[in-house]
Amino acid sequence: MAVLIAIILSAVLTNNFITKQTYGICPFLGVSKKTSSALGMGVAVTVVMAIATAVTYPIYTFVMVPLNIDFLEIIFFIFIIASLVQMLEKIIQKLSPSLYNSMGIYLPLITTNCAVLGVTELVIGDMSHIIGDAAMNMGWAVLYALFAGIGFTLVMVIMSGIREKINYYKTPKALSGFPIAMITASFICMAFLVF
Amino acid sequence: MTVKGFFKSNAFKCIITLLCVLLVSGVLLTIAYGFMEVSNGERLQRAVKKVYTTSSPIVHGLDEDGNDVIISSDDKNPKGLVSESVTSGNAVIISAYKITFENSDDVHYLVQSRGKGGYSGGTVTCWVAIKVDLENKKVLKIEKVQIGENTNQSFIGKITEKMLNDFTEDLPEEGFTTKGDDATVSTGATYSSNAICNSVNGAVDWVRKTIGEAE
Amino acid sequence: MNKYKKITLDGLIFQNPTFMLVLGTCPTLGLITSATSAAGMGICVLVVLTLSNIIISALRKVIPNSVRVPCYIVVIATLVTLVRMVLDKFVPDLYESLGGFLALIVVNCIILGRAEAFANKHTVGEAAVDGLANGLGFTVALTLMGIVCEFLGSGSLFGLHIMDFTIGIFAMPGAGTFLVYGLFIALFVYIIDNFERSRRVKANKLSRENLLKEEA
Repeated sequence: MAVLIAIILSAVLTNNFITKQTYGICPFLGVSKKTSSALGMGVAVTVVMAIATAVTYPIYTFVMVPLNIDFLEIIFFIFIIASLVQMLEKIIQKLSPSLYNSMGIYLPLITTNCAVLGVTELVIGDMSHIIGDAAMNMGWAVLYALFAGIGFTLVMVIMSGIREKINYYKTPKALSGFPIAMITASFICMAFLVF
Repeated sequence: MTVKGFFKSNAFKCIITLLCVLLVSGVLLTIAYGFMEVSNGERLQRAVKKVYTTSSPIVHGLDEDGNDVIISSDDKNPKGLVSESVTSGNAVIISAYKITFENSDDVHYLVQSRGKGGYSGGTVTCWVAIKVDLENKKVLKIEKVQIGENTNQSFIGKITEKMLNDFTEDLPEEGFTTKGDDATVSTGATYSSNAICNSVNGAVDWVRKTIGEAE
Repeated sequence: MNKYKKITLDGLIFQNPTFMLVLGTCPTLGLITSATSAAGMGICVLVVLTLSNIIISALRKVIPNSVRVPCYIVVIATLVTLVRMVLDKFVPDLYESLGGFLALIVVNCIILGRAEAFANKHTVGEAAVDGLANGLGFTVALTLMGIVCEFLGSGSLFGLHIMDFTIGIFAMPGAGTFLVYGLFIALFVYIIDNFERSRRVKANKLSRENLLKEEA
């Protein structure tokens, strides 16, 4: 139970992917102009992160480490993530066209999202600063990925809300666009420092 | 589609190209890995070299039967004095090794210890080199404290070399404490310094227990 | 020769991947707290980008169009794994300070972006120059921001202690690095805008003078 709480708090608040680890910044800056698209992107990333971890973690621990080919992890992981995203896209398109219309357009962007590869690399590394002395297993890994995605979505939605408001104000020409978004993000990060 | 048609189709060409690229990169990486594999023994030697910058230490660990054995950099899986992390006070002992030297009779215990109680529930992991007198079963002094990794300690940069050297000056019986220490309070790194103290105290306690120092 | 000059200037300044296109933001924001690791990251990307551009440009007629992206990803992942091995073996300090961002070079948008936009349409020589220019643009940008961030956050330059006054938020990734990056982009855009405007004014003046001369 303590481990569960530690994982949730760490993944969502204290070690938030965007504000603390700076993973997945491209969609954070690119798709955060509207709240609805930010939410769609966040949910898509969360789903892909959890599924990708559920696939890569057992492959790494039960296949690659015993075979002593763990140095090939980057190629394996990126390939698994890329094919997984393609498959998800096709499945969603088939099962629910309405969901595909709202979420599917973000899926192709996710392959080159640092957050997905980042979380799969994180959970196979040293996690003792979060789960303490407890042993790492697949359940914790998937939970961590899931809550990291939720933390990602949270910051995305906050950011998009602020950016919608910024649009009403005049900004200097040099600051408009990315610079003002980054300064906004800086203040969000400062707010997250209290955790 | 006939079998012959499949072999001439674009899909077949795509699959073959992809497989070829994968195969070439896999073979290339395997060859490169053969040259550039970094064994755990070498990683350990690197960590020890960072602590002992001037002298050349010999690292001792345990073999399968628990006998003393010298760890070289070729060892695939070197075994230290602790096989699993043990808790010691407010610290967790991650690994420990016995160190001897070529040109002196000193015996050190090098302990990797993770101290709790840092800022925001974080920890600081230190390498602590402790000089011992094995015949009289006594801890003599702390030779060096080196900060390794940390979690959540944004002020760790304020811990200066001089503060770490304070640990080597004397060895209080009741352990180190940060309370009332002007040097640490004035920099603001109180929590980090607290975690470092916990780490050092845990390491000293563990060595005392291991060599069986009389109370 | 003019072609190569244009490619180089585009990569370094007018299409600078960090400031103008805002690509590869994750390692930038994560590593500019220290000038040394920022420069190290820049050089890693430079090496991977140049090699991947050369390989992809050389293979551009072999790889079928429909599987090109997976092929590029495999090539890039192989190069990144190689760079990681070399760093781990020979430069362990840098390997540790780069941490997880070393593996994330694979999904760095700059590399896949240059492969898609440039390398698969141009010759090997042009692709190599493009990779070098873009990588250099990235490295210089990261090092500049690293110097500012490290000076404010840790009071040091490339690990050399200079002053005791420090500002905590610049010492860790997140708030401080976002602020520095945003202000740097604004400054860069401002300078480029002014430069282009003055060039345009000069060109206008020149053409007007020519016109006057012709009339006279």
